[in-house]
Amino acid sequence: MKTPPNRRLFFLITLVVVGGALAALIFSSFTDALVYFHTPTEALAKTQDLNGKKVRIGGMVQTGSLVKESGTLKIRFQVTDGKNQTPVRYEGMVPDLFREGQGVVVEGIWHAKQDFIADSILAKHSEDYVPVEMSEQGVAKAKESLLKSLK
Amino acid sequence: MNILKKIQLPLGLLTLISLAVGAWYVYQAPADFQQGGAVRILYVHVPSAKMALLSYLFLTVASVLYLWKRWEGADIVAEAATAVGAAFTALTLASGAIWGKPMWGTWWAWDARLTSMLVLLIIYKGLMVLRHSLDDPVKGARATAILAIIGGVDLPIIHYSVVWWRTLHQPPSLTAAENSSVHISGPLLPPLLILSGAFILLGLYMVTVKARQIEARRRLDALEAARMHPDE
Amino acid sequence: MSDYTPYVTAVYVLAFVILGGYTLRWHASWKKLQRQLDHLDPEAP
Repeated sequence: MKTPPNRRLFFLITLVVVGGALAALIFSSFTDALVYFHTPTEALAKTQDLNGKKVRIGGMVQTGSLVKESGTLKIRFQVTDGKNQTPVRYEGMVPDLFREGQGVVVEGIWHAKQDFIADSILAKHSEDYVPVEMSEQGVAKAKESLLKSLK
Repeated sequence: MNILKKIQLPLGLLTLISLAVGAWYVYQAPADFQQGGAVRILYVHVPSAKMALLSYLFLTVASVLYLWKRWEGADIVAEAATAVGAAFTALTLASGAIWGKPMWGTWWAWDARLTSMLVLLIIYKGLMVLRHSLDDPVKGARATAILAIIGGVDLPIIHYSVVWWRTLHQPPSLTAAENSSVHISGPLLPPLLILSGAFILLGLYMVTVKARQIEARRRLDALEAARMHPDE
Repeated sequence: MSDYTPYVTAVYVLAFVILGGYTLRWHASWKKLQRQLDHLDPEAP
């Protein structure tokens, strides 16, 4: 029996696609391509390298730092990893989980020694689930888990 | 494969009962302090993700057994586990996206957990195509088993992705190492545990049904081949 | 807190369609094959 050419093509394409996806994943495991965001401390340490580049900064929205400009969608806040802070400005809608004391990932162009202008804001959820009636415990737990994950 | 015939009915009933109990607990579950009602999405997402990985583990074991002992039954189970695993992986990605949109603010992010899970779906689909891309079914089965074992490297990458790299996806809430109530409090926990168990039963039931279907298909193919070429 | 009912409903419907759909499809396919087998080879177990 002869293998029809289109079957052989399927065989090759499958090997290339699956092999390629796996190889790309394994290869990027050894680089920092799979690290989704920098912490403020890391960004400050690499501030010259990052200058003018698109980066993601992640951490916790510092409690008490969130300022809303009334009548607009403009907000300002500090992203903290417990050691250093990045001041962020943003204009637009924020995700539902975005709030003070919770995790956040902001994306934008890094300019050394300036406020970070975010193009987009993603909320980072912690692994804690707590019923509404126990919200206070939940907030404390979530903070602890988040800061732990930034180390 | 007589055993499949025997276990199918009790397994199916057990699955239905556990799914019903799980659904009742989901209905009773309170809102989460941050996610509100959206926490209910995770009762599908998390068990489904567990089954996506567990199916692959099953597939790897079946593939090793097939290559080693040449049991056709192991190959049938491997083919069934591939179809079941692909279904759970697709559901995991879809339910995750629907949760991500309101919670994170995005359907998709190229972080390590999401990317490695997408690679898992590509592997499952690739295994399905590969099996039928060779004319000789035995060669197809062997090639598929080999690729399935190689693809197994994705499992630890998925599992540890949230630990090894900083990701948008949160770390696991349920871990064997610590008490599960550390991260999930009170009445939010039982639905997750019950549905995780129910999904394991459902996965086994789906493998059973699919394996019987594959076995019937192969027997039919063999009979038809024998009728077409009676002297072979 | 926002109402997430549409998102939650979408996920449960999807779970039902994907998992239930495949299970029923495979079951129907097996039944059909089994009927053909019984017809071709009535002596088989």
